[in-house]
Amino acid sequence: MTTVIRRKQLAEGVGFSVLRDPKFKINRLSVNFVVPLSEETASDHAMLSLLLRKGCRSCPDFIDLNRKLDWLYGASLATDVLKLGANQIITFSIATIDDRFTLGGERLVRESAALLRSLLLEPLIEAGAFAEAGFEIERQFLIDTIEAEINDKRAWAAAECARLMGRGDPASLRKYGSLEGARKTTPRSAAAAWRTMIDAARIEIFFTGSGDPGAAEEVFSDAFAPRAACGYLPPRIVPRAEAVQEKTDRLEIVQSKLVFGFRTGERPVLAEQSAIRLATAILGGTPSSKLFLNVREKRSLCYYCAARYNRTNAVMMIDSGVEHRNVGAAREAILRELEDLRRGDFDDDTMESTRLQMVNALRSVSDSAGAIEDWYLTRVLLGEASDPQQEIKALQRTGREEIVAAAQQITLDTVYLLTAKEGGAAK
Amino acid sequence: MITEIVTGGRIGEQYTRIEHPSGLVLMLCPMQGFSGAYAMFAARCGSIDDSFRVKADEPFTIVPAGIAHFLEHKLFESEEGDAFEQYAKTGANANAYTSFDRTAYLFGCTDRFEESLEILLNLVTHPYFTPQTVEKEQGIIGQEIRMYDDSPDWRVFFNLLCALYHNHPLHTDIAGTVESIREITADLLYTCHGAFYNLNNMVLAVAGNFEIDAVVRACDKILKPADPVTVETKPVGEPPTVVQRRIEQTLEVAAPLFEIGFKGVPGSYRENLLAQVTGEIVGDLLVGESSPLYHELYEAGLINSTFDSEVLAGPNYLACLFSGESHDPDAVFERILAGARRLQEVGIAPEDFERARRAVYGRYIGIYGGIESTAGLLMLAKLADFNAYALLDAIAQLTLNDAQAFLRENFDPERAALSVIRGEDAS
Repeated sequence: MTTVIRRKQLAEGVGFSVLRDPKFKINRLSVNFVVPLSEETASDHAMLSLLLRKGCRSCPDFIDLNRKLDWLYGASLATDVLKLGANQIITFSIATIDDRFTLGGERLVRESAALLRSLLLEPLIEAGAFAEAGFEIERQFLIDTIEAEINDKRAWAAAECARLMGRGDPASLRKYGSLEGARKTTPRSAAAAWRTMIDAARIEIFFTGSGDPGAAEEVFSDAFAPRAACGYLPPRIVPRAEAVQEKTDRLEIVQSKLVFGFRTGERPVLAEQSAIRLATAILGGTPSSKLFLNVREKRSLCYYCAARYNRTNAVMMIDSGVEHRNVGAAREAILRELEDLRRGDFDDDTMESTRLQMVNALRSVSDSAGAIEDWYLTRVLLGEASDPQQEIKALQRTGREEIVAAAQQITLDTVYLLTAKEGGAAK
Repeated sequence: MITEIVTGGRIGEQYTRIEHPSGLVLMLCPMQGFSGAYAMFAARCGSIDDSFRVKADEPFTIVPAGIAHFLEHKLFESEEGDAFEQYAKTGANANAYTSFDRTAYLFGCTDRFEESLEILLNLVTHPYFTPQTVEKEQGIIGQEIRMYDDSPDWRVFFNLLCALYHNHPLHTDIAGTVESIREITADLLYTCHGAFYNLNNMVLAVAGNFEIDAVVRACDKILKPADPVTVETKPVGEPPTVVQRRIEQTLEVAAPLFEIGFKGVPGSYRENLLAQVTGEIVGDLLVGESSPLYHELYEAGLINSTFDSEVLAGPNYLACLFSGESHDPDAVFERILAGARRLQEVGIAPEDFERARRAVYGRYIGIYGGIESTAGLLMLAKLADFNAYALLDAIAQLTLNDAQAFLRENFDPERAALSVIRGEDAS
C-alpha cells in the first residue's frame, strides 16, 4: 500500500502536507521549522523546543497543560531537534487517537491542532524575554543532555568521528549546539530566536493519519505570514580523503569503540546513490554482510560492526565495539573486508539478498506514521519528488559493475578510537 | 484443528486463534492496508527460568545463568549455516530476543512471507549444538556482557533489582555472567530446548499482510506433533521485603542516574500482566506529568524530562519503577515515598482517576495500530492466557476502588529501594 502525499502552500514558505491512510489508528500533526544550523543560534533553537512544550498564554500552567493532554486521550505532545545537511529542524508534534476510538464520541483533531497552535504562537514571553525561573531549569536540562551524550558510548564515538570529518563545516555542528552555546543562552536571546523562527523559518506542516485533516488545516491556515525562507543547505561534500587523520580518547570503559569515516565521491543522481548504498549494505548493513559474518561471527572480533551511508554528506561510516586487546586485529580485518569489496569479492547471492533486504525496508516505510512522515519531510526539503517506489526501482536497476565502481571510490578519511585509560581496565 | 475468531468490539478488529495439530497455538491477525507482515515464534523461557523439571518426582535441574539467552543465540545456527544467511535470501528482516520471562524469534517482511515463515519454524524446532559451536558463542556473548557493563542505563536497572529481590533470578543479568556462561554445554542446551521449546508450550503470533492459509500450510509442512510436556519451574521463595534500601555504583556518566522501585505483590502471570494497566494509571496519578508531585520535583530542579515510569510484570513478579537523572537522587526518593504515603492517606480523587484512565486508554489504542506491537501483544496473550483485546476492556471497566487497592498493595514505602549511578568526579 502506498500512501500518497498531497502538499499545498498555506503561504509563501509554509507547506501543509497530508499523508492520509485508513490503516492508522492515530492522527499526528507536526510543525517543522527549518533554519540554518549555526553556532550562534543552535542552542536558542534547542531551548525553544523545551520552553514551548511547557505552556502558553491560554494554558500557562504545566500541570493544566498535561491534564488537557490526558483528557485528549493521552495526546502525545512531543518536540525534537533534527539535523539535515547544514539545517537545524525544530519539530513540534501532537498525536491523538482517531475520533473513531474515543469512548464518548469526542472529536480530537481540531482541539489538538488548536492547542499546538497556541503553544507555538502564544509563548510565555513578557517584555521580550521568557520567565527567568522556568528558563534556568530548561537550560540546565539542555546542558545535561549535551553532557549526557557520553553515556551512550557507541553513539558518542560515532558523533566524534563525524565531527572530526567535518573539519569546521557548520553541518558538523551538534544538533543541540555546543555546551558553551547552551551556557550562553538567555531568556532574551531565546525570545528573539522565537520571533525569527516564527517570522522567517521555512515551515513544513504534516498531517499523517486516518482522520480528516480539514480541521487541522483550518486551524493553521492563517497561523504564519508569507516568508522568503531559505531552503535546504547542503553540507560541504569532500569527494576524496587526502590523508588519514587519527584520534584516540581514553575513558574508564570496558569495551573499546573503533570508528572509521570514509569519503565516497560525489553522487547527485539517484542511481549512483543506489550503487553506494548497496556497496555499504553488502559491506556492513545487514546481518548477512561481510563485516557481520566475517569479523563478528566467524572471528568473534567485535560485538557489533556495522557500516552506514549518509546521503547528505556522502560519508560512509563503520563503527564497531571491540575488546581492547583486539583493536589492532579488528582494524586490520575490517579494512581487509573493504578491500575485498573493492575487488568485487562478493557473490551474486549476497548482492541479490542485500538488495531484497533493502527493498523490504523501503516497502515497510508506509507502515508507520512516523517513518512515512520522516521520508516525505526529507524529500520535500531536498526538493525531490521520489517516493519509496522510485527508490526501489533505482535499486533494482543497479548492477555489480556499478557497485564495484562505487566501492572503488571509497577513501579512508578518519579513524577514531575510544578506549580504556592506560593501565586501566585493559582486558 | 480448533479455530476460534476473537473480536475486539472497541476497535473493530479481530484475530484468529488456531490450535494446530502439532500442539502449537497460532495467533493470527491479518491487517488491511499494511505492506509488511510480522511473525513471532516464542517460548515461555526467559532468564528467570534457571531451575526446572518436567516430571513431578524428579529433582529440579539447575542451569547456569544466561542459558535462555545463550540458547537463543545458538538456535540461529543450524547444520545448514547461519539463520541470517537463510533469511537474507528471502529479504526478511530477522531477529530474536530474550527477556526475563520469554524468548522470541521474529521476522518482518513485505514479500516471500511463506518462505521466511518456514525458515523461522525450522530454526526454532531444529536445535544443533556441538562443543565447538558452544565454545565460539561463549566468546561472542562474553563481549555482549562486557558491552552492557559499560551501559549506565542497564546497570542502574539491574542494581535496583539486586536491591529489591533476595532470591528471585530477576537480579541476574539476562545474558548471565562471563563466568556462568562458561558452564554451558551442548547437553544442557538440549535439556532446556526439550522442555521449554515443546510446541505445546509455545506460540506463533503473526500480524499484518499475510494469509492465514499460508501459516497453516507452513506449520503442516514443518511441525511434527509433540506430546505435551509440562514444565515446572522451582518456586522462588521470595520474601516480600527488599534486600537493601539503597545501592550505588560509579561509572562514566555526566549527571547521576537513578531508578526507584516499589516491590509489588505478584499474582498469576495473567493477573500481573493485566495489573500492568492499573499500575500505569496509579503511577501517573502519583508522579505522572499531570501530578503536583511531578511539578514540584521539576520546579525544584530534582528531575528533568528524562524522568520515566514503567511497570515490570511477569509470571511471578510485579514492580513499579521510576527512573531519570538527578543531581540529588536521594531527595527524589524521599519525596516520592512521601507522595505515596500522602496519596494513600487522602485517597485518589475521582476526577483524577477518570483523567488518568482516559490517557492510558488512548496510549493502549496505539498498540493495535502497528504490526509489530500487535504481534507482540498476541504473543503475550497466549503465553499469559488472556484475550488480546481484554486490555482495553480492563481499562474501560477499571474502578476507583481497583486503583486504590493497587496503590495500597503495590506502593508500600517500606518495600521500596533506590539505585544510583554516579560519575567519578561527582562521588
